[in-house]
Amino acid sequence: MVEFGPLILTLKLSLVVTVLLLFIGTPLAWWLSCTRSKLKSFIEALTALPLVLPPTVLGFYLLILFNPTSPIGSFWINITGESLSFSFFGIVLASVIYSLPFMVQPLQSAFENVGFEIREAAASLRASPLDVFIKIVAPLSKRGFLTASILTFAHTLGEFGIILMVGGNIPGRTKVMSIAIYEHVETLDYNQAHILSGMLLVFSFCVLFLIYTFNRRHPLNVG
Amino acid sequence: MFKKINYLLISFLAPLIGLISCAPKNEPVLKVAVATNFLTTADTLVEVFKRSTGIEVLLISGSSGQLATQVINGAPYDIFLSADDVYPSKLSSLGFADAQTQLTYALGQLVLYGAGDVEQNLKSGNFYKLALANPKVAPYGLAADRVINNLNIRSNVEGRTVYGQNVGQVYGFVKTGNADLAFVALSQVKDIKKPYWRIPQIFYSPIMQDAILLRPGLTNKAAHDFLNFLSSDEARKIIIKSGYEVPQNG
Repeated sequence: MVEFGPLILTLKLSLVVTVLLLFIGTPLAWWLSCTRSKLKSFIEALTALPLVLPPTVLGFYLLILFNPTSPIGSFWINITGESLSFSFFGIVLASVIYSLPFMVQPLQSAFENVGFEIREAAASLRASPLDVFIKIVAPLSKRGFLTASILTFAHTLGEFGIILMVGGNIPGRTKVMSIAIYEHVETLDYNQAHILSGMLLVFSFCVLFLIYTFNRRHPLNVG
Repeated sequence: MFKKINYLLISFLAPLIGLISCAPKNEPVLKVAVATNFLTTADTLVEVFKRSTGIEVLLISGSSGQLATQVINGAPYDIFLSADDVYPSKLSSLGFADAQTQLTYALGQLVLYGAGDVEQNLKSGNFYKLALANPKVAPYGLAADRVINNLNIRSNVEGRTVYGQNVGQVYGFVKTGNADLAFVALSQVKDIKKPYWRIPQIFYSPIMQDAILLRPGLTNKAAHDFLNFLSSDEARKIIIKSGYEVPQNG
């Protein structure tokens, strides 16, 4: 009766995207928080673009980028034998781009909040930049990591437009919760729509509630 | 400082007020909800209708499912031009439309579109991705699904089928090269030189695109006029020219 497929797929997508973005977003945010390069504003603007652009613009460009005859699309087919469009990895890639600012911006401000003095003090004691990051900045930015991960996870959970455009609605691979709900509403199947929407609503609330509770119980003394 | 803010405020507000006051003065007398696949044809029909009657028609487009949902939730449309015959029936059974007025204004024609000899490629499995509209929400998708059954090629297409929300999106999948075969509507490709295969009618049940009078239109004379116009010879000629068939008697 209740289809768990879309729910499981959505959770899997959100988890994969969050982990990937932690690896991509952390160095990027770290670089943005330290650099004095002229490129900084350029990269910052680029990172923030998904906040402003409608999903239709990104979806349209990705559809063109992913197609099997494009450089990226054909490269992907050559190494995996699968096309990027209409595949799970395709929607992962789309979500990574779409959720990038939700990871990078909280991390960047967390890193910046640690302050220059403390970093310079560490550096003057001959700590390498990597040491400074791992031993000082990262532990002091725990809450930033938590916020960024939650925002990324939640944002991917609710993603709709891009996946609708590049996913191809394939059960088990690209048919996530939001798409399944859209389909049920469209076919006037309000029962199923209610069940799935209710699940997403309760689940999203629980995740956020747990995080805020955790944050209150374990306040971090960060400047 | 204060003055500066005032100027800023005015410079923002003035164009805004201008915009608001420019909103259309006379409400169109007729609001027609139309399935997106029929929108361009409906545009032509509305123009012709206006020339002979002077009646202004506002077209609201969306998927048939979206439009039906809007009607159920109180959208004030007079007429519904659906892409199938299921949603109009549903609306009338729920009391949102007048069952007596339901009529088939067009018969959708399914075609297979793509690269090379599309018919041969489909039958021999010589393709990479086959796109069709989601059979659960789109009538052309349901028809395409039947064709796959009737051609006995289900095992051929398994795992290589992708779904769009409607034939518009499906057409886009081919256009952008993400699929090389697609079931679309004749009305989308009739002017294109690329070869397509018009699926013989024996392979799918007719795609009846039905119109129905909605509750707000019951007391609107213009709405009745427009429905009558839809089955006039003049309108039928336009509909056929756009890539549809029309029912024999009508």
